[in-house]
Amino acid sequence: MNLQEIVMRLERFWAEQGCIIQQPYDIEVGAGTMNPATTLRVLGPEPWRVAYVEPSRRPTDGRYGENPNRLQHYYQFQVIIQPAPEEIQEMYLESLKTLGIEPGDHDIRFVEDDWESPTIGAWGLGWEVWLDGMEITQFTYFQQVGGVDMDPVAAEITYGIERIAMFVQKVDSVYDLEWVGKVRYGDVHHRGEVEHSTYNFEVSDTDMLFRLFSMYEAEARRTIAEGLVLPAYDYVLKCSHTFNLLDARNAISVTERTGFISRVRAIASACCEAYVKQRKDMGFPLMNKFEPRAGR
Amino acid sequence: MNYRDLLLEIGTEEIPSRFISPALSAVSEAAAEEFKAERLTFEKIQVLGTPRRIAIIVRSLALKQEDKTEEFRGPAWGSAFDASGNPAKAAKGFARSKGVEVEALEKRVVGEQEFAVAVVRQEGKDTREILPGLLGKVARSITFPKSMYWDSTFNRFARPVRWLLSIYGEEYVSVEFGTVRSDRFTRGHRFMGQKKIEIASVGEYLEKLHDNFVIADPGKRREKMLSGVSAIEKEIGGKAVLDRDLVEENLFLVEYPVPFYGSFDQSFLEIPEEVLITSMKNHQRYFPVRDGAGALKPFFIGVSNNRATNMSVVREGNERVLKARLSDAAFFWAEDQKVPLSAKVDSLKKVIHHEKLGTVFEKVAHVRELCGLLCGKLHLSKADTRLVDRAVYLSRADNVTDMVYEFPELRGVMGREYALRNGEDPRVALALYEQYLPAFSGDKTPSDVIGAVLGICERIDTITGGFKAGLQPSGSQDPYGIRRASRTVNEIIWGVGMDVNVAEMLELSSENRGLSQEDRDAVLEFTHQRLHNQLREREFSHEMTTLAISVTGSRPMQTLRFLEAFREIQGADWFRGLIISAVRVRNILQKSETSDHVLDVGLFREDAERELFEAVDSLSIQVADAVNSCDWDRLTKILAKLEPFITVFFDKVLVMDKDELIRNNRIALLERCNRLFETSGDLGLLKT
Repeated sequence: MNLQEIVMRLERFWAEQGCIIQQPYDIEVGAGTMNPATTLRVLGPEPWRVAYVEPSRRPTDGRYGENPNRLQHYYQFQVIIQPAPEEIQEMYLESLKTLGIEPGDHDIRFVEDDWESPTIGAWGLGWEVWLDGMEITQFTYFQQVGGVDMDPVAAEITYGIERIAMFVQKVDSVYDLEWVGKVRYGDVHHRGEVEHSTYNFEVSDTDMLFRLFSMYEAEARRTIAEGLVLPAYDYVLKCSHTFNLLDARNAISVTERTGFISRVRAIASACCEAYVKQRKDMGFPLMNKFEPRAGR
Repeated sequence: MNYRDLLLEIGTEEIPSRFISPALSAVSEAAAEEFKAERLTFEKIQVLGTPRRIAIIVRSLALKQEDKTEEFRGPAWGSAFDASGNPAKAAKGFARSKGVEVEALEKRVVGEQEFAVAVVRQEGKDTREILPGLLGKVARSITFPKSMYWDSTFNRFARPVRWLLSIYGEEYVSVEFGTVRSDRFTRGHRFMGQKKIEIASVGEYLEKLHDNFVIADPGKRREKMLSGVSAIEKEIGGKAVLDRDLVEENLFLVEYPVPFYGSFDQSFLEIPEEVLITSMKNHQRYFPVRDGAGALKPFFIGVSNNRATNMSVVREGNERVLKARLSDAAFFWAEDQKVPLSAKVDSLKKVIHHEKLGTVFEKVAHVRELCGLLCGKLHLSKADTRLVDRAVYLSRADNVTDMVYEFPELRGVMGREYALRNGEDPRVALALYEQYLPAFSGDKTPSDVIGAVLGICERIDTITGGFKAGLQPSGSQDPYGIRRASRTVNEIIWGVGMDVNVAEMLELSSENRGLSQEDRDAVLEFTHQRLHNQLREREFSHEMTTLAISVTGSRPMQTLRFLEAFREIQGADWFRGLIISAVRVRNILQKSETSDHVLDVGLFREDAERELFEAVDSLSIQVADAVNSCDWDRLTKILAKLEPFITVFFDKVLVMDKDELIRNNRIALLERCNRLFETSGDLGLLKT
């Protein structure tokens, strides 16, 4: 099964479970969780069911395209269902079947792995899912986002698309994955890994990044004061990515690190709080709009 | 039959393996306590647990609570009944409040007075009435290191509770947890068993689960797992490394263990085995395999939770994952060796050790200075001193290697391995590893003095540095690991047998770190207290430990040897006698108004006086000598010689003579005795 087929099948599957299929956000994020379709939408009492692919950037994980398993840019397939249904684990296992992964043929395990994102003040408990020893999915029950307690609790399922594809296609290097036909993953992304690794580790302008961080932070604060939650949150994401770029240059010492993280958390929390209030003022318009297994 | 078996099963999503064992003990203790409080007798509680269920079977639980008789004291008899025995208002009210007839009140004498007493007999209730509330309470009482909520009731558990099953004999018990209500069903293995299994009696629970590929009894599951592992051992001709914690972890990661094995490329065996083992154990939970000579074999044993249609699919998948991990490790191993360790030391200037205590490089500099001083105090040879200095210089260089960045638990191991390949002295390489010993309570201590000196000095600096940065432990908090450091210093000293004066080293380190006088005092007080506690853990009495520390000062090795020497004589009659005498000396001197009496041999009236004087006179010098040379066996022998003289003295001589001169002379003699005891340790402090 090629890479795009895997994505399309997951989309089809989750659409059938009543998820809306969104597209990636248009600002760099470290993970699908940072997309406002997760971070903001899980806040407050409104139900929410969504699935989307998220290209995720982790500058420090770059390996110049030399390591067969590590990338500074990779794809996540993100699913959020709120409130978390009782049979969420079974739903997930069903989704694997659509990829040709029959649980009876393998050893699938839910192994303790808790999740925490200090930059957005969020945490949850859950598992990493093992498929014959390989971690293919992160499964989390959110407990808190932006410092706000979850009510109701959302379940988050994050598939590592490359990992699953490598398993399905039985290849040892991510670059050998079949995207479709003769086109390999390497054809699409190898050059990007080389260039971005070089940029992130060697070329980026540290002084500019520090300036940008402060400018983005200030703009987030100014915008939130104007009551514009969504644009403000965009600047939170820009801050977070800028921080990651600085981190890749080792420009932030251990001492300063905590300070930078708490600066991002402060504006993220402010956005989350404002979002909850905004939805309340709007009368929680998504109430009763999701029906399980609507889809098609 | 007046009893039946009871089953409670809490069905969950996968609970973290490390939580399950403690939760099983907790649930069984909570149940036993609740039964006791409710006067319900039972034979025993069997605990059952897998990642998806926590269950107990209570054997022979009584059908009914035990009856209870309680007596309540009411008003004085005189005010309850008049002379002709008619009840007054007070008696009626009291009887009514206790639910007994007023005629049933009994007369009891308590102290000097007569009271009306209500004897209330409560018949035991039917167990079935009590169980629903009781079991709900037991289920909610289980706590976990980390717990979550998942539904609108906000009840907490390690992971969501999805079903409940409770049967008493053959009757269902209704139990609730959050939105979940008990029903007649359990669930089988996620992939091999049925989703819904009706259980009609406690008796068939385990059997039906077994038919559905769930071995709920951890003991039986362990047996099955280990027998599978030994079959594999025979097949591949090796021995699995069955680390206890890893066995336990695997046990609680599966409902039905299916051990399998896989192999990896022989070429990976060139990497140090600790690296391979860490990759296998920490990331993949595999058991490594050794050959008869103890060398690692290119195999691993995993425990699958599923008997897959074709186990070779599971094996191949796992082999691919391990290959990727080991390739990473091989890459780091090669990369790290491009530059020798010594060339990495400079980059420690960029690594923050602690925000208040500067860089790792600075930390090493502090430790290096202390090491030089300690080598001098211990009179190490010039050659050894040079090795210590080289070891401390390289001590943290492996922290900036790729391998340690990836596997922090391999620090020390990688230092040793890289140092050996860089042509460093093997004793230096060994010290880079042994500086971290003992790594846990009961672990081995360094085998060579080089690592021991490094280890002691590093921890001494941790203690003073921690106090300097305001990171001293308080309550259960110990953010900088100071308690551990203090404890480890003593462990190394005892394990290696080094006579280090810890207080002296702490003083030097305090100077080095620029501690205030107040902090210095606190450091000494703290470490003194730790030493005391550690010795208490070794079963020395509080008094003996205090005595030993008072004599040996801050030299833990001597303190321990002193205690060991005295433990030999602890049961001896003469020693008990000597303590009694010492207590008497102490008491008499405390009561006497003046001190510094002049001893006059001419004033002795009894032989016992003269003989005690002579004994004390000659033994005092010997005692001082034994103490100075730390010869504690000799000290006990000298005290043994003293004992008969002092015992006879107290037998034969009355200290408080009417003649003031004689009395004062005898007190002066006891002062001499006391001075001897001050040197040997104040035996008067000991209890007999």
